[in-house]
Amino acid sequence: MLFNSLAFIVFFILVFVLYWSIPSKYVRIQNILLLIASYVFYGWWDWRFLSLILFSTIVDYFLGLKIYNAKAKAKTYLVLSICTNLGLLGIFKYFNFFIESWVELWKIFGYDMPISTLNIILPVGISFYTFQTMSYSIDIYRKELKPTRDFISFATFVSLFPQLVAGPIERASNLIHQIEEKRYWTHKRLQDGIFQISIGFFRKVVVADSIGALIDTIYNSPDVHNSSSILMAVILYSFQIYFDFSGYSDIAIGTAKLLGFDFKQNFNLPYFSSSITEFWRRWHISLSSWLRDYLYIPLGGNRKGVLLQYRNLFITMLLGGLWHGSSWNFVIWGSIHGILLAVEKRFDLIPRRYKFLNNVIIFLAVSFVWIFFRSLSFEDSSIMIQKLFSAGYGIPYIGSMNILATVLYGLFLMILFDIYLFRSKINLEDVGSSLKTGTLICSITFITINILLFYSSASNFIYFQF
Amino acid sequence: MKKSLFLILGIFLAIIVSDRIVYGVIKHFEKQIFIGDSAGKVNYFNKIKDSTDILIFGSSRAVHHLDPKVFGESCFNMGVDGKRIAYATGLVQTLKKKKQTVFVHIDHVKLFDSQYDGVDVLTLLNKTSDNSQLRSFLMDVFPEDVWISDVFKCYSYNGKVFPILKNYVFQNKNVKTDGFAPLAPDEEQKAIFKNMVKNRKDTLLRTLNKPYVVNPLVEKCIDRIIEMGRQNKSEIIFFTSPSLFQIDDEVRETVKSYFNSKGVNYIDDVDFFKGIDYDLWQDYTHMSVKGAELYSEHFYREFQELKNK
Repeated sequence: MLFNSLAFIVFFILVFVLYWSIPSKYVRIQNILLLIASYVFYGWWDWRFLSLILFSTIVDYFLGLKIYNAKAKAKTYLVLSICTNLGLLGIFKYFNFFIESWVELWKIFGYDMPISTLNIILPVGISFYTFQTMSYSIDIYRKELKPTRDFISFATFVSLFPQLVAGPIERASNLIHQIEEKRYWTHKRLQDGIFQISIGFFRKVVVADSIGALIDTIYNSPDVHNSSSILMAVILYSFQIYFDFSGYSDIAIGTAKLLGFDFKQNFNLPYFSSSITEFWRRWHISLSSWLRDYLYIPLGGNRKGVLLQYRNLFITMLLGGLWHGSSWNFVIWGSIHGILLAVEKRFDLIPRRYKFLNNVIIFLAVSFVWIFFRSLSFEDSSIMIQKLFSAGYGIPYIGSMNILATVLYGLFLMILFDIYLFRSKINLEDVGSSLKTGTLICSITFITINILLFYSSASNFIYFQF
Repeated sequence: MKKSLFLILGIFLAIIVSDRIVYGVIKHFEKQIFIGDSAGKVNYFNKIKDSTDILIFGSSRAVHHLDPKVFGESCFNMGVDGKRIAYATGLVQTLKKKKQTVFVHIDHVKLFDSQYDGVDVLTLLNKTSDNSQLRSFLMDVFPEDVWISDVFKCYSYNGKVFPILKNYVFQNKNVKTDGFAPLAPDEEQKAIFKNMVKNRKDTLLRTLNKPYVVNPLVEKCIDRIIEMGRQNKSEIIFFTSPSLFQIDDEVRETVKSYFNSKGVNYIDDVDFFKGIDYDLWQDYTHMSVKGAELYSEHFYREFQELKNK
């Protein structure tokens, strides 16, 4: 079920009313309702993959308890948990990729390997919930978390529908106690939640989807477009992916608020960063902090010397890239970020006299690297980069003037809003309750009317494919 | 909780009231425009449809390819870029005049396109309040969207605000058009196209996987158009205009038999031009003004032959 569908709106209203009709003291019944709702939400897409979530849930629930109770064998149970989760990812997400790459490698040496691939679909959100359950087991092993004994609470934690298919990757330490404790209705959560949901929808269906309609043609066939079109597509894609994914996170966080949960912030104005390091502190925070805590630091972090720190940064970002999808383009994208992070530790990427252009330079650098992320193949990325540095600039391909006008209008409003957030040092998560009731009503009305007038027809969220 | 309920109610009321106001303002502007594919052309069509003898419906391959002038004064080309059979059906539903001739463009491949969901007809959502036949057709195909537009009126103007405002400001007072929009590629466009053809690796022949199954929605649309023809005693003719993409003979025969079985005329001109003359084309599927002129005359002759049969 997509957030930006009528089915979800009806579904959520029903769940919301039923959920709050249950008195807070019956928290277990509320959780059962949430669990059923989450499974319906996920099963709406493909009910067969519910078995996968259930399997992952059962395995990690029992292994969590085992890790906690076992003294000598805790590590074995942890390895079992990690292997199960990575095994699921390996089969459903990476198996075909590695097989195909293996075959291609041998082709270089003239051998034709007779290996066939699996005919499988990638289950939506598998990368998100497997990372979530893995962190649960690791936290218990590290004695940072006590496992829950309530299976319903754990199953609700794994599948809670606002964050099930595209994050944020919530940690058990933040979410499980919220699931187990009584939840009370607060007016502040309603104000913050409803405002954030409206902004999320605007970001997604007006800005991101309209940009997609404008630039997809260019990314799908870069060879027939001139340099100006390529440059336009590269810049606009940076905004598309930001507004698409942050929009999704906003709807997820806002929806969770309306159900009485506080999720962690997932985006904090990443394009206002003045370094790549800062960018990764502001972009997809739940993933970058996951990679930091469960990969970079265990690898040694910055504790084992400068050279090893560079290596650790590179490995972390390379695997972070691979997490996004089974394609060499994602590996390259992650690796470039790893190299940039490492170089940035040693040298100033931006000369001092250009420091005032920090934000712009970082934005352009990040936009440039997104080329690998969005292109359909490495060949396409090369064509785009080649064209960017060639002299073939002319009139860019605009397609529909109407879509372009919508894109510019949406971008203007959202960039202005982000500047407001940046200047006033306020998180989007708290804006709703900071406004007077009248202002809040007017803002949400303005946003809703704009969504009705300018939304672009429903398309998937980019991060669903990961 | 009380405070929260008031807030929710307040937001809902504010949205409904603002929605009606904004809708009213947009409708006021929209009613006065007669140019532009998003709304104006439909307004123009509504103005002339009951006094016109021949109407042409379809996509870009109708609007850029058939010049109504060859049929005389009383002909209008209601083709619109990017619109397909559902959009044409929506408009055909609104016809009242008896004994009209209605041409509807259909592409071989699109007839069997299982992915087609008819979403192009949603651009007519703003006209459902003015026409019950159109509303009933939309209710049949997209009931959810009609319901949403009943509650949130602005929804029916989705994606149209900028074009409406632009056309309101820039249109001439006395608009007169036959709907035809010929394409005149400049030298740069011609060069790009030549280059595309030169670098093309695959064949221009399109084939389809068997079995050839007509999309149920397309079938529904075709049936509705034929039914309207029967009611109004109008002549319905489906046609396929020229394209550089050629289609498997078997598919062409299947399409011909399909329309025969429906008891309606069908003209298949996909291979009217043999070979590639760059002066006649803008791209693989769209003819230039020169190509359109040649084709329109040919089509007119075919139409006369059909009439004399």
